[in-house]
Amino acid sequence: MNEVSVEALYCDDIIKNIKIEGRPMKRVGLVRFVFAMTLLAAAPLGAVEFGVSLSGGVGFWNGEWNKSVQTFSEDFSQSVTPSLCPVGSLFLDATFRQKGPLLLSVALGAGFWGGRVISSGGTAPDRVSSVAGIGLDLVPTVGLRFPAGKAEFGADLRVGLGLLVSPLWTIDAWPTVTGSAAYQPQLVDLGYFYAGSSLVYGFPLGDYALNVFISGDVGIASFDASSGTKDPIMLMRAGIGARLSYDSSRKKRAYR
Amino acid sequence: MKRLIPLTLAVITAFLSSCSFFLGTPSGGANADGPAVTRVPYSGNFTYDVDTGSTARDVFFVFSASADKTSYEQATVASLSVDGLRLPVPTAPKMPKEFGANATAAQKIADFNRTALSKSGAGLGIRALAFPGNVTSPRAYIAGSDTNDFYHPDTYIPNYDATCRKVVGPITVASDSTPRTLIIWVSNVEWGTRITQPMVDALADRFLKTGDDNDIYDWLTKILGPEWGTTSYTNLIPHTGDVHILLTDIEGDASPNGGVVGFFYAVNNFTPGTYSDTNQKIMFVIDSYMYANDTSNAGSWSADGFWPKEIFSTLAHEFQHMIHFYQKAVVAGAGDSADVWIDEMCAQMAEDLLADKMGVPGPRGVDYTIGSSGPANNTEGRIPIYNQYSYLPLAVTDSGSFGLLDYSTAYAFGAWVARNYGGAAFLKNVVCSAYMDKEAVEKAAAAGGATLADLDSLIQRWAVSVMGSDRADMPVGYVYNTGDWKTSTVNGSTYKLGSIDFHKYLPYDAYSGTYGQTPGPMYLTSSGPTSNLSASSNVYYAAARSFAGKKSFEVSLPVGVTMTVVVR
Repeated sequence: MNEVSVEALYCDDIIKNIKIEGRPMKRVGLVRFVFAMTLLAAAPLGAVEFGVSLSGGVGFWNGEWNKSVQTFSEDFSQSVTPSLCPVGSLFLDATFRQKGPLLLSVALGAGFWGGRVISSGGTAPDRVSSVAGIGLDLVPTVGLRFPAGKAEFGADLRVGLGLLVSPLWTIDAWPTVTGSAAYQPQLVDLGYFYAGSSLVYGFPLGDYALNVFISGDVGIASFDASSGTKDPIMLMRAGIGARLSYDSSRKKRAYR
Repeated sequence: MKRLIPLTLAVITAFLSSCSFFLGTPSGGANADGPAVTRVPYSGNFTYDVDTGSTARDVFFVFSASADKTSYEQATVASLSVDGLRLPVPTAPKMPKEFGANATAAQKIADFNRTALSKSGAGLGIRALAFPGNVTSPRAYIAGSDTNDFYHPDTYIPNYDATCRKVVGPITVASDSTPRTLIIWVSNVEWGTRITQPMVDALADRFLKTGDDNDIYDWLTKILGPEWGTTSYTNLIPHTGDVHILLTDIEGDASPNGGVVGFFYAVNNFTPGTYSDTNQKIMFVIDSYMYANDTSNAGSWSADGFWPKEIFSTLAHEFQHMIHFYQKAVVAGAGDSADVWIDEMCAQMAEDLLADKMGVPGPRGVDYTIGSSGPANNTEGRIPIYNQYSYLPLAVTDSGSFGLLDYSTAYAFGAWVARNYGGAAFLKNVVCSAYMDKEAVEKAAAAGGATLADLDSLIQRWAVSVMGSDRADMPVGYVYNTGDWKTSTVNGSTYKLGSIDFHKYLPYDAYSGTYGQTPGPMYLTSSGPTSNLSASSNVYYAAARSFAGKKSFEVSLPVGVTMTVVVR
């Protein structure tokens, strides 16, 4: 519980930074927070299961790129509608469970972030502009699971520490033409942070278990497609997914 | 629950495998076949891919260098390139601390006009002390008898011996409800041998005559206000209502086919105590050789000939300079005139706005009765030179560097802002403001409805407009060509601007004196010029012609240069 208190303290720091300074969260504090979560998740608290999860959904991107596209489109006499971009993620995780509802896990995987703006009207052809990037994420998670017959349901809270490993792609699609660019942000701008939650429903399949979940993440990053600005951008994604896990001790434990 | 698993996986797979879903390809729009235009919002090294599908398209990149000179301090190490082809690198335009000794008379005049008032020491203190102003009674000039030795602007000695050949007025004008008198002088050596009374009468008739809204004076002062008036500066000459035009061989070059067609020299607005070589007249000078050139009329001079029409257009041009100096430096209180590129842009906008009224092609180079973009392979007006030198900078602030080619750049830009941001009102807003640099243009564009009115954005939008000028359906803010006249009204007078299609003008090489074979602006290719790219300029790069399929480009874009992609 002391360690939980430590988490809470860091959370307070983060909130304080956001409210008082009005700037992005301090990276050092966040790194320490994620590190602490990782250690927590890796603690030998009980049975260990290994899983792979795949999710897909939609993403929202709010930053200089949006402003740039919006400004250009409006200048081109077109109306602009922020839209959602298809995104997804693939993770491998190790989850530590003990008797009781609490579980802790740490996941490593790739997350796909993106955003979209639709420009229409005026005398120019409609245009769909998208921005996307793939990051390598380390994600400690704390969750609760409750039995429901042979199955179980629960919720997860997580924080993510990510590193953009792909170029930043921008895509402009017109009815008959597509233009795209692959841009490499500066090294110091590649990192990002996010927090998210999931609602999970799981059921056993022999030594395996299958979870389906809906999830949402909100992140802050400093990479963006616009030059000359370092303002933080906000990333969001929401989707559905499935996780297949293996636990050699599951037969003994089973779901109640 | 077992059914939920495959269903979920099927949905995810469908999402991931749907290319159109990922790209979000739109179905169309009002103009699905229109040019695809986008702005690349970043700099650095990146790959740009274009996929035109099965339809052959032209792919262009436009590189726009910021007008902010300071932004290039760190960019000179970076090269602008596409697929390894090095394009012009942005650098700041040369800004000498002192005006160049090798400048031509015309350049010296332009430089003087820009700072005449502040150089004279007529600061606020003098202005405040000078009240009640410098009004005086006009003297009476008599045609055929009054003579004057005018100072030559380059030699600073009075060697234009001239005689008054025409007096028109006094005529009460609407601009300030006071009388104006036009006095036309002709160099004695020109009189009878080259310049005749019908020529003088024709010139006077175009500039000032009885009646409202029927001459260059009325048309331009309705937009900009009067050319002179009562001031509180003691070193400016009094307001008499006289406007003088001198017909002489400017520069003594005896050239009937080009050179300096006319000039306004603000030194003449000052008292001798301020500038010793002043003629103490509100005046401008017109070249006699070109006005008398009758080669286009089989040896008989006619006011409908090519060069007389050029001269009539020049009346509007120089008159704008005259008004500009007074309205900006004195009335608006700027203390000086605008940067040379702005002053020359305004002068050509005045020509453009008055062309149909004057019955001349004007800088557009199209018959004044035609509102559409005119004939193909046009070689007239200012645009042929712009098409040849499309990469030259716009905001040339150094008068000593402003030359023939820069007139075309200034006109091309001025023609665009006028057609998009208020027409005659835009001109008025530039001239009658206290701003002397690019801010004058930015404020006027904003007043005319531009949402992005900073000069960098205007320059970028201007380039796209040039490329889209063969279409009559370009969005607001990108219009050169509506297929007809575009009108604007100021103080009850309506002004018309004809359509322009840059792809109907052949490029003109001013050094070799030859026209290119392919109409349209200069597109850089692998054989294009590789000199430095100046601030406030555009480089048009033809990335692919009649191309179908997918193609990748490796682009290196320095900070301060923006890239616009146009696929058409």
